[in-house]
Amino acid sequence: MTENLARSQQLLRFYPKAYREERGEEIVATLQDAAEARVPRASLSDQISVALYGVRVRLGLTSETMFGKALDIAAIPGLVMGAFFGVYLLISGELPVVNSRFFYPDFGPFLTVGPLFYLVWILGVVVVFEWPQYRRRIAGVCMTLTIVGELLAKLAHRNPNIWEIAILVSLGLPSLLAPDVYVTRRRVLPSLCVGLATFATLFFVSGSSVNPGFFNSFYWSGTYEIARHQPYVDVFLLALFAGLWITKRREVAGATLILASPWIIVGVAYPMSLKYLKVDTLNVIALIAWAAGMALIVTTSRYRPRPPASVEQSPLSSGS
Amino acid sequence: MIKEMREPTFLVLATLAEGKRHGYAIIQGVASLSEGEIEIKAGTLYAMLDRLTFDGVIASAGEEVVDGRLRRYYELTSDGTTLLGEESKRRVKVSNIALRRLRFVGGFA
Repeated sequence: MTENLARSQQLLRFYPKAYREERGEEIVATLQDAAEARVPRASLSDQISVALYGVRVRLGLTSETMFGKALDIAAIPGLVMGAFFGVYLLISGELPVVNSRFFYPDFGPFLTVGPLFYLVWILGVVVVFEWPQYRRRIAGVCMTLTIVGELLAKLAHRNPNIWEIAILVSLGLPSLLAPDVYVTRRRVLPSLCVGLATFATLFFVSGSSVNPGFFNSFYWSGTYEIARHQPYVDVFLLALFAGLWITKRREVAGATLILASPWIIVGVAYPMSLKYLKVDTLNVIALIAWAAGMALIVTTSRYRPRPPASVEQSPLSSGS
Repeated sequence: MIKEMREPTFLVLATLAEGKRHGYAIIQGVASLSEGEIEIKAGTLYAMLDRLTFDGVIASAGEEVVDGRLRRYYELTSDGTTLLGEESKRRVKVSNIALRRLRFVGGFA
């Protein structure tokens, strides 16, 4: 057995057993053909792509599964939700702090790099509406810049807080994980509806204002207010999920659950991170319901062997 | 809103329009049609084949063992043929409009 053949066969371990049995030999043959014809570097990239696709099949992240379809639906609305969250943080996080310098010149300064992150996300949304097929790259750029920027900002004790950034970054994950599809839909209207709903909900839960002063800003108590009001939002989100699921709009239900993830998780994780805050029982119940819903989607998306398809002869393919 | 088929998918279907092909032959066909511009990786190819098979655009068309390697062949289904035909017509139509406009402004012979 050649080294190349052995390596190709090892790559099949990334795939679930059923897939391996169905397609394994075929993939190895293609890899070997490619390795013979291509330069070593190209052959390595073939192997990496086969391994990555194996991980996708194993996790149910392909375009045929419910998880994959839900991620596809959630991808661009997730980025838009991030941009609207950014706009909200500009208004309720940054403006009060800027205003405080006018009213209380001796108080502060509260240095921040937040506007730079939010601008990246807003620009990201403009670009993704124009070129939706590049949503994965756009999300990758937004997420990387935000994470690296936040790490650098924290070294110099600058705003924003890690919680806001964690929510923002997680909203790019659906775009990063969503499978490739024939046509990447822009989903402008649903995305804007999701963004506006997020914006309105944040106003509702965090009692935002543009009153001057750091203690009026979202950076001071916004995440706490999100966690405190989260049960109302959770009830709505889970009821929406259940309604969509029952009415058989299951991919949209899955997308709803995916987009709800950071908010539901923060509702529990934020109070848990602080000794003086108690975790709301309703938030814990919502988290359990969310986990059950996600488990349902992931389980439904597991790879299952397909029955052999009957080949209908196409008029174009009569001569091979 | 424009709904266009992405280029690699179009090229895979165009390769299969010539007849049934196995995995690596499809990769070669795409490279040839795109004059080397698009090189599909093996993992990407199987993601596309799975998706197109699931959607009933292509189907498995038999297999054989050549030099100890299993070759599974794929071909267009009737739906796939229709889809490719429609997409090709759309592309020709857009290209013709573009060429007519370029000629009108004297930018293209």
